[in-house]
Amino acid sequence: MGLKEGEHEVSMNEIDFIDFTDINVDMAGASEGYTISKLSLPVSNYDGLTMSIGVPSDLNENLPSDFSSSHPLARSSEHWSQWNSYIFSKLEGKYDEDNEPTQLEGNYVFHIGRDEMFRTIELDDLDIALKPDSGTRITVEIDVKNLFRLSNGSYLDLETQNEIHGDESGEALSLQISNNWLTAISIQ
Amino acid sequence: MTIKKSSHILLFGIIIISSCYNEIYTDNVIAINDLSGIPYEPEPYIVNIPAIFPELEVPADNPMTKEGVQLGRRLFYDPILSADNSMSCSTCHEPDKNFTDGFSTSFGIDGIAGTRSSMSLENIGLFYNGLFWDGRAQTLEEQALEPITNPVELNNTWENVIEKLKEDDDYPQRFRKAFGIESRNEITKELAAKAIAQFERIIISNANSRYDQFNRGEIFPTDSEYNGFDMFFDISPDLPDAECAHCHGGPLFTTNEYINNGLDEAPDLNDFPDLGRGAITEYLYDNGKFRAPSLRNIALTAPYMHDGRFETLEEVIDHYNSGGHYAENVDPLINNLGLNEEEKGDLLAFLLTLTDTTYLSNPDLSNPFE
Repeated sequence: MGLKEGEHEVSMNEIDFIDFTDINVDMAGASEGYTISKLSLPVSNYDGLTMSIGVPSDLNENLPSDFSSSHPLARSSEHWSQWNSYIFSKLEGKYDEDNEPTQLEGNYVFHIGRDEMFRTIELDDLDIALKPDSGTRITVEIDVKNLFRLSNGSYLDLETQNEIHGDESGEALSLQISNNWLTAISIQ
Repeated sequence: MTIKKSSHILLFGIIIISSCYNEIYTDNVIAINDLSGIPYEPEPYIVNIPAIFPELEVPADNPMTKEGVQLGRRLFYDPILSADNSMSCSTCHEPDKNFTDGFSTSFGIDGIAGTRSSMSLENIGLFYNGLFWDGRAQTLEEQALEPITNPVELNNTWENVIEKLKEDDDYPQRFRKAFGIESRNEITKELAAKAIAQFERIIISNANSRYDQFNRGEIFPTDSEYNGFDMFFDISPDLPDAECAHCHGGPLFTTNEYINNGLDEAPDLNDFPDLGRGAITEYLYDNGKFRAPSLRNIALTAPYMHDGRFETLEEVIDHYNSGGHYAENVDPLINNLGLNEEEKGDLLAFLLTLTDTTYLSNPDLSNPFE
C-alpha cells in the first residue's frame, strides 16, 4: 500500500497479510472490516492511494523459510511450492446447492498466485490529509461480488466451476479474478 | 590477636565456599540462601536449524543459553513438577514416540484421562499462531506454565513446585547459572517456564527423512511414494488431488492454521463435543476447529486427531477420502477425494517417507536422569 502525492509515492508497508476469515461471515463483521494501522507516515496532503494484491516479483522469489516466523511471508499456508509462488489471494467458501436453507453443501476454493496475477490498484483524485498528532482513517471497500464477475458481465456459476485447477481453464479464471480486483476495490 | 584469628577463620570459610561452588555442592553450601557466589556466565546455545526450515524466533527476554537449556531439560524430565512426583512433561511427551505418549487422550497423575491427545513437540519452536490444539498459548513460555496446574495433567500448584525447587540440592544453583538469580527465593514459575521453553526450542528435527532426501535429489522415491507425493501436493492432473498440502504444506508440514476437518457432524455450530479453537476465541465460526499438526514423523505419533479417535494412518486417510461430516464451517477443501485403494496406499507410502528420528540422537534431548 502506498500514498500518492502527485508523482511521488510514500510506501505504507512492504507487505501485509490480511485475513477476512473471522469477520466476513455476516454483514456485521463485513461492516466492521479489517483495520490496518500505520504509524509515522509523513504529514502531507495526499491525492491518491495504491494497493497491490499479491507479492511483488522480487519478493515472490523467496520461500517462507527465508523469513522469521512472525513475518507475513513466513506463512507456509500462503505459498504454493508447485507454482514457486506465494498465493496472492484466496477466495474460499460455501454455497447453497439445493436451495434448502438448512445446509450449505457446495464448496468453492479459488487460489490465485504467480507473478502474472499480481495487480496494482491505483485510486486517484482523493483528498487524504495527514496532520501532525492526529489519526486519519481511510476506508477501503471491497465488493466481493465483483470478484466473481466474468468478462461477459455475468457471474461465475459455482456449481460448474468451484475450484481452480492447474489446466488452461484454471489459468483463464485466475486471470479473470485477478483483474476483478481492480474493480472490486474503492474508497468509501 | 583476636582480629587476626577472626580474619583467618573468615578466609578459611570463603575458600571452602568458593571451592564448593565450583562444581560440587554439599548440603551445607546449598543450604545457604545466597547464590551470588556462584558464577553467572551463561554461554549462548546455538540451535542448528535445517536450511529449509524457518528462522527460530527467540524472545528478547529469554535468550538461548547452554545453562538455560540444560535447566529446562532437567525440569522437562523431572517428576518433581507433578504433585505426587510421579509424572514429568516427558510422561506425555516421550522422545521415542516423537514427543507424544501413544494414548488417544493423555492421563494425568490421578489416572484421569484428559480430552485431548498429546501433541508432538518436534519443531515446536518454529511454529506460530498459537500452541496447543486450540492455540490458547501464544508462546512456549506461556504454554509451559499450564500442564503443571492442569488437574488432568500434573495437577500441582506452582507454589508447591517452587517450594520443591527451592529446597532441592541441585536446582537453585542451576537457576543461578541460567538466569543470574542471587537467592533461591528468586526462583519463580516464570523462570522455570523460560527454561522449559529454551529446552523445547532445541527439539528441532534434521530434515533428513526419505522425503527430504528425494526432495534434495539424493535418492529416488519408489513409484508408490512418488504417486503419494504427487497427490499430497497436487502436482500433476493425472492423479487425484488429495488436498493435503493446503493444511500440511511447507517444510514443517503444517500451515499452523486451525481447521474444522469434518470429524463431527454439527448441524448447529454449537453442537461440537469439543469446541476447540472456538472455546478460546469465543467466535462461533471457530467452534470445532483444531490446529493442523505437523506431519513430520507422523508414523510415530498414533493415535491421530485432537482426541486420538483414529488408531492408524489408514483410518485417517479413509476419513479424508470420505469428505468428513457436515458443519457449516468445515473447511471447503474437505471433500470426497475419490481415491481408490491403490491411491490410498500410495498416499500412505508418502506419509511414511516423513519419518526421521535421527534428531533424537542429540544428547541434549535425552533424559538426564537415565
